[in-house]
Amino acid sequence: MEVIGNMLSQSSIDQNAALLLVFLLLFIPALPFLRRRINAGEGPTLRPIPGYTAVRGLTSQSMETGRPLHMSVGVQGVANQSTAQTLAGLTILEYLARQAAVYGAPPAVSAADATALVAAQDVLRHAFEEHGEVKQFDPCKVRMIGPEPTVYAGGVMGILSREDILANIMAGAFGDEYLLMGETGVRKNIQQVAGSGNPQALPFMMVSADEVLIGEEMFASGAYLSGLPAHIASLVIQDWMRTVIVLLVIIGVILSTVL
Amino acid sequence: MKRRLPMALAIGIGVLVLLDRFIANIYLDALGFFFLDIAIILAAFALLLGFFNVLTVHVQKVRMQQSGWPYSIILILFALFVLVIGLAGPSTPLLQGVFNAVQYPIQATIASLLIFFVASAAFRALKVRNGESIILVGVIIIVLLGQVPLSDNLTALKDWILTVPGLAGVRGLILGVALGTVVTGLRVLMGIDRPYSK
Repeated sequence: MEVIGNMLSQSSIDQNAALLLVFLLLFIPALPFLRRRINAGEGPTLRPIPGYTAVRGLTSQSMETGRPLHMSVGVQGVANQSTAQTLAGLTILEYLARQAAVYGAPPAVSAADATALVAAQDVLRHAFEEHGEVKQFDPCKVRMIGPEPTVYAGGVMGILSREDILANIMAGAFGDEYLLMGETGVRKNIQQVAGSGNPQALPFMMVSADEVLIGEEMFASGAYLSGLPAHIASLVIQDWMRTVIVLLVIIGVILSTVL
Repeated sequence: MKRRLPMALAIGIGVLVLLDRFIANIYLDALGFFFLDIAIILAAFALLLGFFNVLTVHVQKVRMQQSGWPYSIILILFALFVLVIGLAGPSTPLLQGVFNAVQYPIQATIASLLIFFVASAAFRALKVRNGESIILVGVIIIVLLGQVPLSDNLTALKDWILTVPGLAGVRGLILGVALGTVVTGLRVLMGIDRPYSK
């Protein structure tokens, strides 16, 4: 271990991060390899996630009734540590946008962060462009409420109370302010699907949303809704990484107990 | 070219910033800081776009006389007022007064609604419907009663619930989110996902 530590310090690699780098390098080649296998039809069987079944059902209802869904991608943007959660929300939005471009009734999207606003507008516009319906795209369908979480919650409460929203889908980085929005949805008897990676927000989601995407289930949106091979491959790699980490933890516990 | 250039930029810059995290090198550090500074400046410009979006949405609301349009007029007027007084700088007494007298009290008011919503959510959650809800209600009662000095055993049980099964669950959740974050980042760094250009 001392030899490795000396080698690392001579090469200017941060010793604490070296293990993480090795861990990443082990799995990077697996992603394109798995994607090719999934493209060839050798993909894994995905267990049903009720949250995504609900999203599909709500999308169909929205198309049939013409009433829009409300979609929120969280209170953070794409330039901070919650970027991955925001991207997960944008992947769900991409699915909704594609359905809307074909069948009508685009979702009403709200954003707290300006970078999320721009990304969401781009997702919506691209979906309409793909189907040659760019004239149907209305940039005002994506609206910025405000960067402060409580301000954002107040704005969404207004949207859910005043507008004819069929259902509320909220997936991204949320905090305590989620409960203000979730409870408003409950009072208006609106169906809700919510997801976050923040352990503080999840209990509030469990009591107010009909279906909840718990933590990493949010990152499976591309695989479940759009069947994207790269996203399915990501789920497999996540499982492998988790298995390795759990084994290392067990081995570490045993060694520290025995030694 | 239209697709490849943004992808090449995103991958190149992403890899540089990632390497900066792992390797201590003054040139990499300087590059990493430079790109992060650019990101901060871009986010500030995005905030301007957000401001224009707010104005556009509410002007449209007023024009179409949609539900709540008088509030949109008030919002537009206040937004322009704060923009104008903010041009003199963020530390001007008038701007500070607006924030202290209007913004913060309103934020605190909205945040204070949380306690009522927590109560109504808890009332709904504590209905015993099945085996899982019996366990939930039981654990909640133990944790609540363990907070008061009723019994040492109850307090010890409460501590065990919070520090062993509770913490284990939270750590599992955080691990899953961390792995999802890592793999999402890998997809973007490898150009498989391109949220910046479609």
